[in-house]
Amino acid sequence: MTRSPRIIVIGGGHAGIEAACAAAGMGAIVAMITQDPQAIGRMSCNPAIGGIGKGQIVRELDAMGGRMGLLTDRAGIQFKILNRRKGPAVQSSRAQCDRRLYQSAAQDEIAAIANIKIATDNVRSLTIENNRVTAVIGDSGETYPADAVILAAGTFLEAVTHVGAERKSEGRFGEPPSRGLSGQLRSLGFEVGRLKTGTPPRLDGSSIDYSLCEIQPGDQPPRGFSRRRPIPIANRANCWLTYTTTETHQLITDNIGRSPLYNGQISGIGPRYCPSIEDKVMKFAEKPRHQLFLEPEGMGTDEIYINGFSSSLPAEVQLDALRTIPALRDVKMTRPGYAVEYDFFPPTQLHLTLDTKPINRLYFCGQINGTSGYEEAAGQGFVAGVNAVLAIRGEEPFILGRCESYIGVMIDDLVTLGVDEPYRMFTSRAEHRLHLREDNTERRLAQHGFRIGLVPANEYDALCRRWENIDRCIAEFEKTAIPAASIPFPGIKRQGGATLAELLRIPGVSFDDLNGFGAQIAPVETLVSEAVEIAIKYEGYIERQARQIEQFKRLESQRIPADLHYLGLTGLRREAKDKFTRIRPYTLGQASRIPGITSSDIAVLMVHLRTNSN
Amino acid sequence: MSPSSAHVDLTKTICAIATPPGRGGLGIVRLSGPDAIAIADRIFQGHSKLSEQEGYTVHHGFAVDSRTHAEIDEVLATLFRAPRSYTGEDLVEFSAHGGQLVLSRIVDACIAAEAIPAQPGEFTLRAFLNGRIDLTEAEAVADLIAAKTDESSAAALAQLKGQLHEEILALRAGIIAALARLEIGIDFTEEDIAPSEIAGVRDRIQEVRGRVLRLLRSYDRGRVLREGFTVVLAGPPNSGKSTLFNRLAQDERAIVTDIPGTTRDILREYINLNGWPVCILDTAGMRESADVVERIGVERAEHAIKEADGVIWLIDSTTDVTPQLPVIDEKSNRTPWAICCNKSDVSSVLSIVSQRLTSKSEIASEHGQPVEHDIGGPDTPVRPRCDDTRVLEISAKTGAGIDELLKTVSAWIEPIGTARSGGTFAINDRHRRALQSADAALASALESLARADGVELAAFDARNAALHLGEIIGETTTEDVLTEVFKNFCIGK
Repeated sequence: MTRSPRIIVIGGGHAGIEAACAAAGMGAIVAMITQDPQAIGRMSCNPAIGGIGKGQIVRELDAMGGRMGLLTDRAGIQFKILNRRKGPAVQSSRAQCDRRLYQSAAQDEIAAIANIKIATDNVRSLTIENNRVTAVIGDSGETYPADAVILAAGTFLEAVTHVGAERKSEGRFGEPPSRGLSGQLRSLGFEVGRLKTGTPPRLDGSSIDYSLCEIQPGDQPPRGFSRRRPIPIANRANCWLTYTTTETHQLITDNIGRSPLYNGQISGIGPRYCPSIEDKVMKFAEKPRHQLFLEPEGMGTDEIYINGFSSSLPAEVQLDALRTIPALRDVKMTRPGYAVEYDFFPPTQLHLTLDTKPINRLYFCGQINGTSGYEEAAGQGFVAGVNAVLAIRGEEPFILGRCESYIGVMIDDLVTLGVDEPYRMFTSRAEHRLHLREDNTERRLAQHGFRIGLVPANEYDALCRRWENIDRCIAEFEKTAIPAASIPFPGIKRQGGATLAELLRIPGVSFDDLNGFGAQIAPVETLVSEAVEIAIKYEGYIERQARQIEQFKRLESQRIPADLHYLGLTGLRREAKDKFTRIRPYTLGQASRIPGITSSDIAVLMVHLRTNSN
Repeated sequence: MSPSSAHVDLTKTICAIATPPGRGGLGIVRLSGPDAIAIADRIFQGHSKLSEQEGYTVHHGFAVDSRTHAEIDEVLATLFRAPRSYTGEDLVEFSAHGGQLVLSRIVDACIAAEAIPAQPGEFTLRAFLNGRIDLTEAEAVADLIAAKTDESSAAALAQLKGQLHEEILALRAGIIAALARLEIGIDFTEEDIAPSEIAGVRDRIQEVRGRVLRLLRSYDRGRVLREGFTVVLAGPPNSGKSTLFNRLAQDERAIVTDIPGTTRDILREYINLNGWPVCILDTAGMRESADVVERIGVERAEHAIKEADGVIWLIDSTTDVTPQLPVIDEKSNRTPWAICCNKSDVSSVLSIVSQRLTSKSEIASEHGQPVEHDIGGPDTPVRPRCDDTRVLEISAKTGAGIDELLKTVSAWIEPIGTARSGGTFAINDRHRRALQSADAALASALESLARADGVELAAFDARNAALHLGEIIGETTTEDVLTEVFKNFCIGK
């Protein structure tokens, strides 16, 4: 192909941004179609990026050339590492962001990329030829030709919001839904489902009594997300913690019949991990109080997001309930909380590339795949954007493994297991969690970003030099012996002393402490000393995890031809044939994770693969 | 890995004794799978590493147990490289000097080096799977496997139904409950969950571990029924082991002489003690010796002590003014011991022996203060403790004190006999391996819990324990943990 690939990205949310930037970075001409260019990069729910399991995704994006980490560093007003007192594998970064700053940073980023054009339109339908998408048609009547289409429509498809009995056709507060597209996709053979999510009210900060709240400051010093392009960051705002009271619970219980969640008005399934305040009160009646986090929406505004109070009760009930909380006795609500129901496409209809199985070159990413969260959306957007370009070029697909990234875990979970509630990342979903740490993110993934051309050579070289320093330092620590006389630990009486590595393994001993033992350690940057400390302190566990990963890779490296005709394979159980046909696993490893598949099914499949390849 | 109850996993390396049981001159242990050569190198000491050798070659060397570095036997290792082997995988065969004991020890060493025990017919099954066995149609192969696995999973299911299945489910549920509490502390760190709800993880894990150990003991019960409770007679040369052996066996099988070091190999005899089969092993006397053959005998005796269910240590009351007491490692310290001052018809040293045994408090002062920052070093050998050890006065020659000795041995068997009222679980070797792995993982989890930063490490261990138990019944873990979390805790800011 001589001309550049043309890619349409439908939607300007967190998935759409990463998809557009990745595709454009790889040389595609991208048209981003959005109903409202001013809404590009909008944070529809809480004003924070990252969190446990999610911070890792943002770091992974940064390591591969994604944008979310950079945007968060620019818009962040409070930075924090969660689980700081636990081990390195479960520490995650999170930043409170200025909502407006984030949006403008995202829009600036897109505007600065010459080969991304923005079109203000609502996509009404797709043009399909020979099972392949070739164009999209907007409400404006315009036809946009495309080599690939990435759908990142978020919660907008056939969306309805609920505030008490009040129902509106909206994809987000005050924004119209996208109509028609999911109907066409259904007629093309897609299965369509319905999910629900919710958001809490926004409050006027000047009406809150902060003296009755606990302060939640950021980390000192703050740490940003991007290691490739770090910028100066600062903590500029605090969060606050307060609690519901038994009065609050009573008021909600008394009005429960007016909640669309409890009176049958909402049928979509909501997430278990992010229940509405109604659910918390009704399902955990024994708890005397629930936490509420007050998070600033930004620097130039008094608006406050009240995390933990997601609700679809009528606005006046929400306000009454809030006012039962001492710190919110006189609170003013700037916007009520609401629930939104929207169409999604069960993600077992996708390949690991996020290309859809029914239609070629049509990619789905973000909430339409049944996920929740900005970070999860962004991770999928990146993978869809990269794969769209690779597919048009006829190159090998870009598939991240479960053993190398959270993004890989997420997409494999979605595609192989499907979802029955909005999918959110948790570290416990990653069976190789001890390897998938924030500190080694670049080492796991930067090579991919470099290979596909999204991490520039100079940035990659800088990373490689750091890794060399780390390795050199570890090797030196393993062989540098400290005489017994210089070791201040009575427990260690070994003749001939101990090596620096052995000393570093002692609980409580840090990299910096080693200088006190008479060792001459050349000063190194913090990122190096941290990596050395982790590698040595957790060596035993890291090695055990590495062995499990080696085991895991054996089945994972055995590809299954995409066109394998399972129904024609003898010896395979009927159930296995059906499941393989539906999921069309990419590798034997993925096949083995399909619910209900046994290892004898895998053995039979393996025989056929080997006999056919011989 | 895969959620299944059938057990063909070609990513694992399997091993087994490949020759039929019996007292043949030579026996073969076979290792097959992707790690076969690496594992073989861990237990093989020859002129060069097998990993550097070509296929179809034979190498002379010694099989060693990589845990103890103890030599097991002189062996020939035959190397086959994939796909040119019986199974189509990398394959190593060790030919050893026969004897089930030696071959079992080689298999055991392979398993310690991360092989898994092969199931019956698995080498052949792998040969099928790898296309090595010449069948004309692939379909026929697949049918065969399907039939075979259907058959075996039906058999496995029948076996698993009932008590064992229930028990494993309960244990797994216990671990998942503990794991859910650990994961809450990790994934939902900002949630308002009372520490009391998360506490108790240690207790839960300990409780599960206790039950895993009980299951393993019930394996012991089955094993004792099948193979006998093994009692080893040991002690310095000429302390009268063979005389006692003959008295217990009521037979003149062991050659009894006054020349120290007469017994150079191990003799065994079964006796019936209150309905329990007891296997008595007579071993070579423990002493430094220049005689190569005698030294091998001593090594074998030491090994037999390690594997024993109980040990009778004999002392010659007439000659041992400073009686030689056994020195044992921590592992065999759990084995019950009886110290018999023999030849009581001639002399008595009972009081001296009793005084020389270390008491628990002495052990504590010697090694007890656990070295807080242990950075290595072998386990220090300890003596049996007087609190757990009976000291008896006997005369193997006249039979005095023998009844008392047999009562002592009966008391050893008793806990195994009553390990589980209501029948023995059908625990096979595969189950036992899985249970042992689960036990090790749980032990590691308890250690990790003591670390300030150990929550995720404990979770890693607990998850592995659940996976090992899951291997027995074919269940996976991740989603179960989340379900448990959401069911029992109010999560969500």
